[in-house]
Amino acid sequence: MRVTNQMMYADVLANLQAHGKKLARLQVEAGDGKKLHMPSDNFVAMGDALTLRGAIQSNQTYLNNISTAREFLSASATAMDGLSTIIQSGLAIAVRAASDTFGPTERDTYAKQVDNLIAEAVNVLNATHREQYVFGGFKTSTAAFTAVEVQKSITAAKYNGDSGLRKIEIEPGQTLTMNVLLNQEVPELKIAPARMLSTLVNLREALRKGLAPDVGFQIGELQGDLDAMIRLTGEAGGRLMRLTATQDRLEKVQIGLSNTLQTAEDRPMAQAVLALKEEETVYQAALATAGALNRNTLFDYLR
Amino acid sequence: MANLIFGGIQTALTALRAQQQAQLVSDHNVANANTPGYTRQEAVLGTRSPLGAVAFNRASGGAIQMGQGAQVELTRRMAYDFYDDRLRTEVSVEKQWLERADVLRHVEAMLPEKDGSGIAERLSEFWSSWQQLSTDSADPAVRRSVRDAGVRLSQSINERADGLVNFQRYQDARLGRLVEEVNQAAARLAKLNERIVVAFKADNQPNDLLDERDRLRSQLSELTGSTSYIQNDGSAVVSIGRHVLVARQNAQLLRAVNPAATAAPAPPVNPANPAAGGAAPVPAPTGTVSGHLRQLQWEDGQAAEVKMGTIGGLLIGRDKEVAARISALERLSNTLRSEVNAVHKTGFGLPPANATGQDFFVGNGAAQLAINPLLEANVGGVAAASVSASPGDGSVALKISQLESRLLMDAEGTRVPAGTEAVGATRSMLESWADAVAALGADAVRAQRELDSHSAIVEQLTTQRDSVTGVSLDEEAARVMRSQRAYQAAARVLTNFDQMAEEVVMRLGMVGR
Repeated sequence: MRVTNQMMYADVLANLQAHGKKLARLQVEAGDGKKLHMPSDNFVAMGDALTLRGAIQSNQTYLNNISTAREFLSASATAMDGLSTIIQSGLAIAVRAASDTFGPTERDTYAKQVDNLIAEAVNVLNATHREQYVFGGFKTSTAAFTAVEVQKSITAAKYNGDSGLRKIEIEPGQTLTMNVLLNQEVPELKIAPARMLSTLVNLREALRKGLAPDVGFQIGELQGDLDAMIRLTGEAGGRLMRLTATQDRLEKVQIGLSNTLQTAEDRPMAQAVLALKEEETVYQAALATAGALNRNTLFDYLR
Repeated sequence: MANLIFGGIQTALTALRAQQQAQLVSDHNVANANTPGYTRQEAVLGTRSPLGAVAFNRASGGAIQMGQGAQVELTRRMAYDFYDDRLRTEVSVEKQWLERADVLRHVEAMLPEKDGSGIAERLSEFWSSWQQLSTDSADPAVRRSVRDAGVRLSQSINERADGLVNFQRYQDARLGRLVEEVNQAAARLAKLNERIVVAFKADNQPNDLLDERDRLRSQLSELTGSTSYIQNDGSAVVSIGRHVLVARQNAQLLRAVNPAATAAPAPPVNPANPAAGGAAPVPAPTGTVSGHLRQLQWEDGQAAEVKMGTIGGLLIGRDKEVAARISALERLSNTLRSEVNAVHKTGFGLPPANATGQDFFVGNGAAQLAINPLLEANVGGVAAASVSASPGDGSVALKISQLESRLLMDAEGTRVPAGTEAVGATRSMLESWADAVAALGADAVRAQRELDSHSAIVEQLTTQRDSVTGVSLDEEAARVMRSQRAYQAAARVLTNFDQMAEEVVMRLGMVGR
């Protein structure tokens, strides 16, 4: 086969271009540690990477939702603990006042104590978390309960909220209610925990009137209110435990997804640098070959 | 005797001339060693017709043949038509793939998805913002984040759609320039044909014209994938498909015409573009030709079909590769707009306005997708609640966020008709977009592999052709040396005959002076 000058230069040029292309590619990979830059770098991995990033983002959103729900439910549970304490205080007063040994003065003192408990209960029923009323259902921007006063004495609390259950998604297709409704009956007891306010009002009135049997009756009612509040608090605690378990699982899934994504799109640095060095050597050899082409031709020997 | 001496001088002279001509051919070869398309030439030496000289001392009494020296019989053009024809065919295929690979590389650069900088990331952020709103629907900051995520998503879709449509326009303008190049080459070839025919009729060997003819054949083939053959008179006939482009001195020209300028009003940039807010299924016109783009026509009005070469690749790139990506963006934006709007309309904004029945997205097609200006101005109108005056209700926001995982598209990325999702839908919007990006990558890889494969064949054929037609400087140097030595020898012979003539003219007949 005849070898012409154009053939030799074309070969050298083709080699230089091929190695230069590889070198440029490896430089980019070593520069940012990524092997996926364009879909054509690895279209299967690119498709996977996009859906994986979407899954990681969704997972993170679920983790954020869980965190929001935990905060909201914790605020609700703290408020319900406060209400339970108020009921227990009312119960203690009722038990003491039910005894006939106390006179009207003492009972009046107890009535005033209960009055304070009622005022405190109204405050707690209007508990907020991040400027949202926690017990108002969907009506989070207006006070959940408004005290009805007669002669500067609270006689009832009007519910301003609705029966809205604030559901949030904690994993695909799984929702969880993050609020608690105090004015709805606990199914097993047929008692709405918010009834505790009217029970306390009744207790206060019985104490003011000095009717020991009525005071005794309110003990049973308060006991029922306490049971309802504790059951609801326990149910909220159960939801908090479910949130914690889901959070733990999603965090593990998140680590797994991140690792898979890294495998799909990251280039180990040591590997990238080594490959770059190898290609540099080959490129230098191709350059040396190109240099050798400038050798003398037969024309140099013509006289 | 004198005749023989002067005959010898004449013979030596023919040798000098022949060797000079051979040197000139080598000189021409060396001068064109790097000229693209140049076919090396070779001086073919031959003997001149001998003279019959009377030989009285021959027993037969007949004439003897006296050689009359050397001459260059022809300058042979070392062409190898078989390689040339194969090379032209392969180059036209290579150019088509080169153009397609270039187009796909541009499109890849226009749809960046690296490190979460793409539409997929914006889409995930968008769904995430709705999730957040579902948990904290009254918070103005969260509402603003939903609006901002919507703006970022729609802008990223707009930018990409604009980029692709502008790229189509650039390709359209380039088509015009390439057609002009084809027409100029065809016109030049037609003129050249005429000169070659005349040269052959005059029994000339127009080697350089033949090189130029073959260069133009190659150029036309690279541009259009045209085929050609040589007639007995030396002229080239070039055809694209079944239509003749050049025959003898006639060239039929191509035109890139805009059908919209002469026909019905132009359809939109991409047909996959139903009205805003509609829940109608989105058609998937993959590979369709946008109506505003120019089409190829012959001078006589017939449609020209150019499938190979740079123009063939450009047309496939413009009308299939780019159009398919515009379609994918259109399908995504239309599905996004109609699905989000359908749920958003059922919800309520914050009190006191409690806005309802509003679209979240507005605008036709991917290039115009935008957030409803009313919501952009007042985030309180973003409908998160299913009941009026319920700031804590995020159930509509939750429904919108759940669109993220809802299977709405089929495997081809088309929105299945509403109500048949359970049967035909297999992909969510994000998965469908990821499929489109992966398909783009697969097409780019295929184009690059085809290009590499055809480039390797072209390289090999070029090497084979060059091994026959290319100039080797060493070889030419050897020829020059050979001619030089022959020239020197002929000069010596001439000198010798000159001395003999001197003997005859100057020394004979001295007796009696």
